[in-house]
Amino acid sequence: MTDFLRSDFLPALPPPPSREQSWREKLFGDARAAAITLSLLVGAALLLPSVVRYLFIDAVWRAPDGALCRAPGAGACWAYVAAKAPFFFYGAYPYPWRVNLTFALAGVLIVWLLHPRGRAKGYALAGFFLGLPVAGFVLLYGAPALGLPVVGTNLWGGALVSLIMALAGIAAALPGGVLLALGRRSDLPALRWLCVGIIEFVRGAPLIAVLFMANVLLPLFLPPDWAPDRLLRPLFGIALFASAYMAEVVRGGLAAVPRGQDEAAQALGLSRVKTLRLIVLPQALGAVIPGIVNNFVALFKDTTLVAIVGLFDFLHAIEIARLDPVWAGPQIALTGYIFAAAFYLGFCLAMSAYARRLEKKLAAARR
Amino acid sequence: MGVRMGLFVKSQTFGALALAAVLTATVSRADTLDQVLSRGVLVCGVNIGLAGFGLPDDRGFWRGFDVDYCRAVAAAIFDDPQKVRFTPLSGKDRFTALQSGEIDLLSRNTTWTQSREAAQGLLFTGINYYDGQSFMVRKARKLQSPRDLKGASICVQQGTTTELNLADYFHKAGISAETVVFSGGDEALKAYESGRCDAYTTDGSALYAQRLKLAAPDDHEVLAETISKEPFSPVVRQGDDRWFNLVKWTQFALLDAEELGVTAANADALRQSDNPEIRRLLGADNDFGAGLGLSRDWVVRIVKAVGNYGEIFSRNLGDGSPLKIPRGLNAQWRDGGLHYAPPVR
Amino acid sequence: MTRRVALQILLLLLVAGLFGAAFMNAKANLEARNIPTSFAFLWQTAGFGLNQSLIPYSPLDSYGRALLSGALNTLIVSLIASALATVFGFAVGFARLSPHWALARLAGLYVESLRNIPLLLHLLFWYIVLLAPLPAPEHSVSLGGIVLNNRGIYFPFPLLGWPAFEPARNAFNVEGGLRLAPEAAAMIAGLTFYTSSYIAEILRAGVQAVARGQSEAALALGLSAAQTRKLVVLPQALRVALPPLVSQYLALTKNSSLAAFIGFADLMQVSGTILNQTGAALQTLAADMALYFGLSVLTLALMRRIERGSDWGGR
Repeated sequence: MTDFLRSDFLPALPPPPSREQSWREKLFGDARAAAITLSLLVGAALLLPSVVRYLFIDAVWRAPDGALCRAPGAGACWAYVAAKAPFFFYGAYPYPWRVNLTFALAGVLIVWLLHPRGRAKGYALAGFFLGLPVAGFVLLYGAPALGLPVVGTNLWGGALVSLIMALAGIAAALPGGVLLALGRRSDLPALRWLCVGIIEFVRGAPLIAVLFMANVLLPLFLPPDWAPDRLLRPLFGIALFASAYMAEVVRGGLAAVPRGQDEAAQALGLSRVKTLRLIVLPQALGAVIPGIVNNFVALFKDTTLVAIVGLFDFLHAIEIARLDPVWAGPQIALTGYIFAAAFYLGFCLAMSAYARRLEKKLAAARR
Repeated sequence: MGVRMGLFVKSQTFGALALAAVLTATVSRADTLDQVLSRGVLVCGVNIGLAGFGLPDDRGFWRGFDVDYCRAVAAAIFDDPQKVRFTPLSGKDRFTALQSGEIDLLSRNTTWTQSREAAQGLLFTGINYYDGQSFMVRKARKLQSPRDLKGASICVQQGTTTELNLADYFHKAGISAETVVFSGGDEALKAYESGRCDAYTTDGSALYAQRLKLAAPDDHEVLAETISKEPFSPVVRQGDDRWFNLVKWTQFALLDAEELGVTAANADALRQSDNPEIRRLLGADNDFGAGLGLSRDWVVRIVKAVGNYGEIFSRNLGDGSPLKIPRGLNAQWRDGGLHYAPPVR
Repeated sequence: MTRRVALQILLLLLVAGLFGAAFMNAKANLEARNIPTSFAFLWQTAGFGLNQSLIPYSPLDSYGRALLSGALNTLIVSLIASALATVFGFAVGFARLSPHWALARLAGLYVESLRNIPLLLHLLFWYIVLLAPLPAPEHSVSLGGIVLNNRGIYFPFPLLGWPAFEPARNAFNVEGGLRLAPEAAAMIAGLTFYTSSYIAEILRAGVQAVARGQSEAALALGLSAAQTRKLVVLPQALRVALPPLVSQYLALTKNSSLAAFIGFADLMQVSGTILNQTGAALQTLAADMALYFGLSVLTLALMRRIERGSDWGGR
């Protein structure tokens, strides 16, 4: 180690900049930085113009069919996206307003739940986990008694299916995850091992395998006359999958609650259930809201896999629409994928940005 | 889309399961015709979307060969071809829907096989379309037969008998080819179009329909030679002979009408014809409808509503449609085809 | 105490009851539908082809061999993608930590955009992007014996069990040689880029977890910036990063199960075909789980050994 021993003193480092560095200092402060900046600029100069031309300048914004988009040199075919948008978002669902209303309702409840200054969150919780599923079912599936014609799940598609899968998945995964995580911490060995088994088994399997299991094995294990709906089977698989991952998030939250909290609550004479409900869970869950949101983002991305069991989610709707001969052309696939990427990116970025902001806030509160 | 599920009962992974339940639970189901009459509408299971066979148009109006069969039955019962509610069904769900009574009749490019009748409690009412697995290839290749595909790459959808037939055929022919298996039929078709494969294989009828999905359909052709037998037929539940007869004879009436030259345009006028065969078919002299639970002019109702077999074929699949499928095996027996309907008398 | 025991017995009874009911149902359902419950099908002729196989395989081989070939395809693609994702991920992770403002931002953009797009979209994208510019077989590009067209890259390569051969043309395709199909290439590209965004974050978190004083002390001792990074920061960062890195590799392997969407014959795709042909639902899923679950158990056990045995051990 003596090799690294310095025999003379280092020259004193310059003092840290007392003011914000200027742009010039940031980008061209020394030779190294200048070289990096230059190579980035060259790269951008090479790449950006063609991207901008493809996305905007050469793009076809308005067209009755694919003829313009098929012209050589044409860029992205946004006209196709505009024409197919209803199919991308609703599939073949005949009443868009029912879908819009359901998701507006879900949106309001989610904002209420996640907003840091939201009041009376108990109602929001009840609304999200009890009211929303019922209202959603009535609105989307229909209730002839209320004048809403029944719409079979075979007509559901596009973003509608993606969002239902993700929302229902998370709505089931939260209680499921909490139960599994509590079970994993239990001092009853039988319960603990059961929960560990479920969690690790599901987490060890790819989601596709879980979906296959739900689709193929679930009907095998049920009495023959309970044939679950084709939307329900993958939903069960997704809920199970999300619960297992949620359990690990919640476990982290439970571990973060100091043991003293538990002991103090019991010393105050609270029952175990009350300790859990009033003291432990609120702290544990509050600490892991960012993790829960991240889980939701992952789940939303994972809903693209339900296509493997024959459902039309958002991405699959785009895949299908690609084959319409009216629009078919060399740019259609890429246009569709760019649109899909923007959709997922926008949604997931917004959610993860929220999670990160919350994380910072929580970290500050703990300090 | 529009590809059959496996020929084996086993491969109908969940369909057959629910079905086994229903087999035991639904022995005492009420008479289907009575149910349809009291409901006032026929519920017909059709394809979710297969051009030429069953596909809603831009305004949600169902069109297609299988769809017109539903309309023909509705016309025979109600004298109104619009009294049909269409239930789009996937390959997996179709038999379950029929067995559970959700639909009255399944008219959805379904292959008639032994196991489906022997083990699944279904009855096929009679072949209305002779299909077979074939190949779509590029015209520029100038191929004659699937045999010419030695060493080629072939795109195919996973989990269908198509995949099995393909391997069997090449094994028998003693040649090898690369198969590229996709989870979805559309993905397979796209890969073929992109040049990844030299051929795309599924049922001939579906190939004609899917050819229209390509950017340049005329650059592609469907090989005439088929490598499997896929006879399509409407399907009803076992245990209701009256309903079975009604659906079966609707099909025969359509074929007989074509054979005798009865069309939607001349059906009314031909009741005055002096050809005794035509007079019997149209109920001019005797009442042949009563035995089926139908009116005396049942064939007139059917043909006026949807036309005869040839008209239905031409409108949806043949010359009058974008598909342009040749009649081939589906011609009348006098024209070298296989359609040979028993007479009405 | 007796209450605890009673509770657990009750739980066990409940679980046993559920399993029993499921078992009885399954038994009845399987019998009603003539579904095979033995593994005898593994020795039957598969009858379907695979377009990419590490071991010699033809449609005349057995289902068992098809499964093995699929499993090997899963493993090789995961292995290659893991290696590439690590290289890319480390590069991007270091770029993100760079003092250079624009470079760090660009790396951040890379991470945030790639990981917020579903993996399936990555795969579909790479599949068309790789396929579109490649020439048809009749216009193949040859470079020193390597042949490239839209059916793949063909290397002249003698391998165990394979005859040594050169790629040669037939009426449609190039035959022979060691081939990387476009499906496999798209799988590797998609998995690599998607996973690299996660690995970059893991590396960054690892480096940031190393106390600042460590690198300051190293610099004060006279180590250069590169030496500091190599000798002081990285070893400590990797210790923190290793567990999440390993679970990323496992996630990548599980994610390779999306292969069926782009026509790559991985384990899930092969077992899906077998399931459809034989109806052996339980057995094929058991085979899938054996690989994925077995792999995770094995890796985690290995990890624990490494953590315990090496000087990277827990702090």
